[in-house]
Amino acid sequence: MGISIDRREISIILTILRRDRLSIFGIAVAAVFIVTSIAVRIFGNGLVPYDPTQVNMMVAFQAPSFQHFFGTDNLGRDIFSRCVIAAPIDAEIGFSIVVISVLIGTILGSCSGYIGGKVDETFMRITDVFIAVPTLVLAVVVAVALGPGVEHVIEANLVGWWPVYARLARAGALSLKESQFIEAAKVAGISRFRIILKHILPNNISPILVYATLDIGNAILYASVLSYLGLGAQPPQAEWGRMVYDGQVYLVNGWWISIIPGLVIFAVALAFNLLGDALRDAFDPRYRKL
Amino acid sequence: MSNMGLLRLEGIVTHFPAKGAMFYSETGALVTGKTIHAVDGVDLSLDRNTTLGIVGESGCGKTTLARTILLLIKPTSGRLYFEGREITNLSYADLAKIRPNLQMIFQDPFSSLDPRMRAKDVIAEPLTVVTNDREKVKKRVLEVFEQVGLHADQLNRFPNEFSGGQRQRIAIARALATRPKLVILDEPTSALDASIQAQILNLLLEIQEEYKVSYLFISHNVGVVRHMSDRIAVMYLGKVVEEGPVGDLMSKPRHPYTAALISSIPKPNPKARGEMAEIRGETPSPINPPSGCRYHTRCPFATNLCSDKEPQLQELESGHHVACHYPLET
Amino acid sequence: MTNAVLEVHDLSVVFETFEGRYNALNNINVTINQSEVIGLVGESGCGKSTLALAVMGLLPRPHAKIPSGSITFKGKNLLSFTEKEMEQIRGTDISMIFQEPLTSLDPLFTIGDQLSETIQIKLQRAGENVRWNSGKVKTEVLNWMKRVGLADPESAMERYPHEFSGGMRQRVMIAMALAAEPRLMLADEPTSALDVTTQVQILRLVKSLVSQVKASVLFISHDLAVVAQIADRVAVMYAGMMVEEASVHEIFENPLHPYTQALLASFPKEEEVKKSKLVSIPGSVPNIAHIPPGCPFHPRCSFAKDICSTTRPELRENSPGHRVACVLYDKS
Repeated sequence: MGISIDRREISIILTILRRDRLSIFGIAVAAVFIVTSIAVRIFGNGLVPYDPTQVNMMVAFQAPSFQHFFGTDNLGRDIFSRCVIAAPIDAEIGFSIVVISVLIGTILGSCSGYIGGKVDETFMRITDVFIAVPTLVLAVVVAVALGPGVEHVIEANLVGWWPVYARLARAGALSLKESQFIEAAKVAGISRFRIILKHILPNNISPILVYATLDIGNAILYASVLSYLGLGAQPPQAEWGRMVYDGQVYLVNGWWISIIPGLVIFAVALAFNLLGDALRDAFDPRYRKL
Repeated sequence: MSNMGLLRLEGIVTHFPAKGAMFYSETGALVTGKTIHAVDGVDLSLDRNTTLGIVGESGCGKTTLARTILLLIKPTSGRLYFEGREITNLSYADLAKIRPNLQMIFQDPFSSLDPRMRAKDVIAEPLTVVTNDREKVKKRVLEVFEQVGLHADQLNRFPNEFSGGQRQRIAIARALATRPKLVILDEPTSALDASIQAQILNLLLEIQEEYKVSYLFISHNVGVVRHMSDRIAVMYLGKVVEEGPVGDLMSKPRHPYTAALISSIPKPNPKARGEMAEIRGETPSPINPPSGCRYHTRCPFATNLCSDKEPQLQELESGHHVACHYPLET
Repeated sequence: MTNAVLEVHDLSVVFETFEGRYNALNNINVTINQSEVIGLVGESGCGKSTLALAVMGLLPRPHAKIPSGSITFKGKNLLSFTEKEMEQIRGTDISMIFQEPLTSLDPLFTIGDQLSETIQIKLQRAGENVRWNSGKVKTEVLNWMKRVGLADPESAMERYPHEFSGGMRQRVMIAMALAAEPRLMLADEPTSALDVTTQVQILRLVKSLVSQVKASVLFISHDLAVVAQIADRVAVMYAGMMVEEASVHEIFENPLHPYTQALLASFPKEEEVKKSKLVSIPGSVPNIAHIPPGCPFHPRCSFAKDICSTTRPELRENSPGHRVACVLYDKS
């Protein structure tokens, strides 16, 4: 199931990642995204050329130029600065959703798959319910119920997100369960709990890691959509999805106000998708035979 | 005498639901049924410091038998005694107390070790059930690692850094860490190259000398089993058809199947080509075992009695048991 | 010389993978004659399967490279054939059977269909334009199924591979491989996954059918005893190199190469003292990535000399029909 991660493995993975131009793009953009997010949290507004909340009607509706890389919006705010400042919000939302889903889903799914029987059946029916409802619809409903705010966006998405990891982990546990080294652990008298913790979970990681990386892009996308719909981050806090919504009415004479934040969302989501794809190839034993 | 034995099986039966299995036998008949009669009534006993070899081909139930003895599967009926005490219905937790004395070495050295654990942790694992003393564990791991012929500086490596033979040595070290009284070996050398097989078999013999441990040695390779065992039991379709001291059984087999099995072994001698006896047909499926004596469909000496009545294991000479209505003359 | 069906001359195969460059085969020379069964024996990594794949043109591209050598079949060098030309040959002039028939038979087609395909191709090449479901083809299919010992061929034809046992599937494979009456059949460990009692049946079957069809066989196995039952000549390989080649009787009565001798010695003997130590070869088979320089066997050889670690010995004729690659027998 999993490939042991040791130094030789890591160098092989890095080499594969280096070779593919798309994956380089993915890594680059993702890296810029993460670094920017961290930097904004540390340095705050000092990082950007303009105060993101500063209204200045004199410079409103300026197209992208040297002074304003992404142009200005209807209130004269520098869109580039707003985009940069907004980065950590989506980063936090995206990573939180995925990381927490991975934790909850992997543990529950691994246990369910390993224990099997009625426990597993019941658990499967529960996840079925969640998976049956389209994630976005579910997230919107929960977000509306909880009210606006970033934490609520995270929670709303978590509801629909964790079952996928639970399924993945369960599938991995089901096949690992039959392995001879698991039988060997049973023969050694190891408790079921320890078997799950020390044998099932570590060997289940690879496919989950790959999927999670792909998923961060999706999570960011969903977070933006929720903000676009008015849930999540509230003005005057800058947030990409919100910016897309706010700029819609000005598409004719100020296309950059809406389109550019949209492109940023697209680029970041794409980057994580490409990165996840490349990771999956890197882990695939057949690909490596080359 | 067998009350003092290490391991005793009484009427062990292990059946599995057939789950819709369906295929065609070589006579063209459709084979389908509700149950796989993997092990269908086995009595065996094993003393201290001896090796009992179990020999048989696919479908004979030897692997299921091994897993039943270890209680990885619960027998459908029958009783299991270890060191005089019945263990058939022990809970997982109670069994854990016995495990240090009853260990197993698996067939495939590539999948019987957790790929994410270092060699030293693999070997330490069974010890953690016995003691919490880290120092003691560390000492013992090193000791047994070197006993199986590996170097201490390899302790930190992962399984995929070792060759097949070396991995099997790690598996042996793991099985011995707790100084068990009985080790079950399920085809321990079948997945290894011929030149390594001999090394591993020699190692197993040395260890038995040193630890005075009993082996239950399961294999389809009669030559190897013969070399390692004091007694041999031959299994066919879930039952023991012959059992006895290895010298007697091998030179004077009394059951027609045993005789055919022994003569089917290819000898490394081109002049002996004509000597291999050919048994008719193939082993029937354990889903629908033949009536009476299970071997009667392929036995050249079968009569009506054989298809009607199932023969029981009877003692012919001292210690040599056969289940056959017409045991071969010597 | 004109009797030769296949001539492998100085063949070397290299795999270029991510993790490095592996020498899978080094200067292999072997000839298979008409109606001859050659047993190719060796342990893991010795290159025996690679040799078979090279003959069939089935080496993984682009990772496999053939820096030198030729494979001559029917007067032509197979290595220079295009893929299309190889397709013409596979299954008809040269066929192959594998260890696990379940993976080599198409699960979606009945065995009757699969056999019909082979027979149709054979008949077409003989000039008869028949359809695969014609009566003539069907008769031959039934004929072949009887010949390989499948009971009730009429209904067996309608069944799918997974409905048969291992031994029966192997019989189907043999029928498919021989129905086209090839000049050469490659058999890669065909009995290794079978019970020993089934193995006897299959070996007898192969031997009798092959002589009826007048095909030659390259029989690959890790088990010298199995090879003893069926081969006319035996070639022993180790770590990509051929170390000894002789008639089957010579190999067993007079093994020359230390590796061959050690392999023979490691069989448990019938008459020996029970539970005595087996003769074993110290060390382990080298990893294909780390083949020792000089003679690859030298680290494990009890007769190794200094020169063995630097110079790779060549396969030389020691006595008529008996070749060995070892410095111990260098008459110079």
